[in-house]
Amino acid sequence: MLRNMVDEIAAWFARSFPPQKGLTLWLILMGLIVAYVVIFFGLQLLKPRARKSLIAVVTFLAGLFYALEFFLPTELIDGKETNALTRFLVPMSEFAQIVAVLALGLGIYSLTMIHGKTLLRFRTGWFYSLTFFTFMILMATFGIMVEEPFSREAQINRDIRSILFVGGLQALEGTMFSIIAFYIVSAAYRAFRVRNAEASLLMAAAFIVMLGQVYAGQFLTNWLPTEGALSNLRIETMSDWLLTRINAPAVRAVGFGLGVGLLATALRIWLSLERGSYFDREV
Amino acid sequence: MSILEKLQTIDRRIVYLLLFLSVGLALIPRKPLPVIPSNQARSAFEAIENAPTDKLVIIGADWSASTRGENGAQTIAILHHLMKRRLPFAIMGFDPQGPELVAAEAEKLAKRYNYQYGTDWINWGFRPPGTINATLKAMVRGFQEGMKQDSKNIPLSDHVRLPMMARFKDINDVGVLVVVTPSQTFESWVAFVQGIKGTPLVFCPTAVMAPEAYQYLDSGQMVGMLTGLKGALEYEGLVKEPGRATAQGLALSVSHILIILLIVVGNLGYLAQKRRQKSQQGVG
Repeated sequence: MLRNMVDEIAAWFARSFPPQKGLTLWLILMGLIVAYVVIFFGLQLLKPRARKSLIAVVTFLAGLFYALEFFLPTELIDGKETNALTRFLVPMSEFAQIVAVLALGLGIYSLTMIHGKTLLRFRTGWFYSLTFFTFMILMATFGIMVEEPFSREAQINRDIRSILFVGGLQALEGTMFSIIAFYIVSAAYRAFRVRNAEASLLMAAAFIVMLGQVYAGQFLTNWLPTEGALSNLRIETMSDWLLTRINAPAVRAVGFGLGVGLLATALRIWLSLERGSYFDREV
Repeated sequence: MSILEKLQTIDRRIVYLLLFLSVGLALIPRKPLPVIPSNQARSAFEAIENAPTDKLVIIGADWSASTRGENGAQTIAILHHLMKRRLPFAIMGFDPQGPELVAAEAEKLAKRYNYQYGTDWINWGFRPPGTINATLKAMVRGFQEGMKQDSKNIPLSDHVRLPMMARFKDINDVGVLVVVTPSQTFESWVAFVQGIKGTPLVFCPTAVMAPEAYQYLDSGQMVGMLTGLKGALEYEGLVKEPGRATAQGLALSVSHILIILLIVVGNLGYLAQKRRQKSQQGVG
């Protein structure tokens, strides 16, 4: 029954909103943008209580779709497990991507406002704001232009983007992460002390796992046989045992706890009951 | 304070210099070290070695330049194996840099192995990370519907320019999943892609992320794992393509030994200080 109802609704939408091309498509897109702006500012006019109720309803419906799609019984159609809502998985995925892109716009707006104020008022650190604007505009410009068909100009765009992306961003990220190695070594040297039995046990385990990760460590017990009882004393065997027999159950236990917590949190967010830093005190 | 006690307060600049020199010097010799592949690397190798050639391999490239040292080497080793076996593959990712970085490596190797874009391999490109679950759920049901187009904006339904997409429709046509990531995105791949048909999943994390994944190996949801640079080094040995990881193997060993030595030295100083304090208390 549910399937028939959903099929009828889907068929009505397909009849009423057939795929468009050319000028009609552009006009519809422009209309949707105008509608989006009107709705956005319209929502600002709502009273906070009404706005929160609206958000709660939309959040609930969005969560309900995936819950129902998962729990409703399925039947095999064209070799795929399908129920009444399965056909909407792809449109929902596209919708989620559109919402994510809107969030990107919100992020750019927020950064522009913060850095714009710093730059215009020459506050401390204005130079960093200038750097931010320069590279955001450059990356966006050459990132979009690189999609153009092959030509001499497109090649120049590609080269500039390559300098910015490979020569700039990637090199900077790689450098930043490499520097962490120095801090890790320094921190390990300062923090690891055999203050008590637990710390000693931790250190012994860390040494075995570290040595098991590299050939220099494996070399130490290379003289032991690879099979039989004595093979258990090889450093890589001990390291593997620690990771698979001690570490894995511990991580699994933590995972169970996290899973239960996540389920509770998901339910609270879905039902708009959550309170805290990112949520208002009252709904 | 005795000399022994001073060992626990070595200036951090000396520590930095020791690391810089030891790793720098260890990178000079090019002779590869003997490798003993772990069970996880061997299983990963076997999963790809036994993958049917008429099935697609999906590479989830959720990494960026920051972890290139580990994830880059793993990816190249895996690509060598895929191309040697002439396995068709698709690249996708939820990190803006991931698919582009992997595609760049694939392009370099494609010339050597005569791999054609659209026929033997494809780059589905980047999707927003916030939509990972929804995107993967849609993707497994149908690549054309779920992914729509590749990174060059060619529709996946264009079988003239992308002939391989005529052969591969959905998760039923996938032989192996390879997820290369330093983040938690692998959990979504396990839940929403591997779990659908039990497709073999090979995981390539950074070394620091590996301990979190052993439980999935235990449960069989992952068939193999390449642990950081060490995993890449082992895989290069297994596919007999010594590369970046093999060249860095000695540096990896030396850096680990240096950390262990520094911890031992620091603790010698700590124990000496503790002994002196105890004896002073005894005298007092």
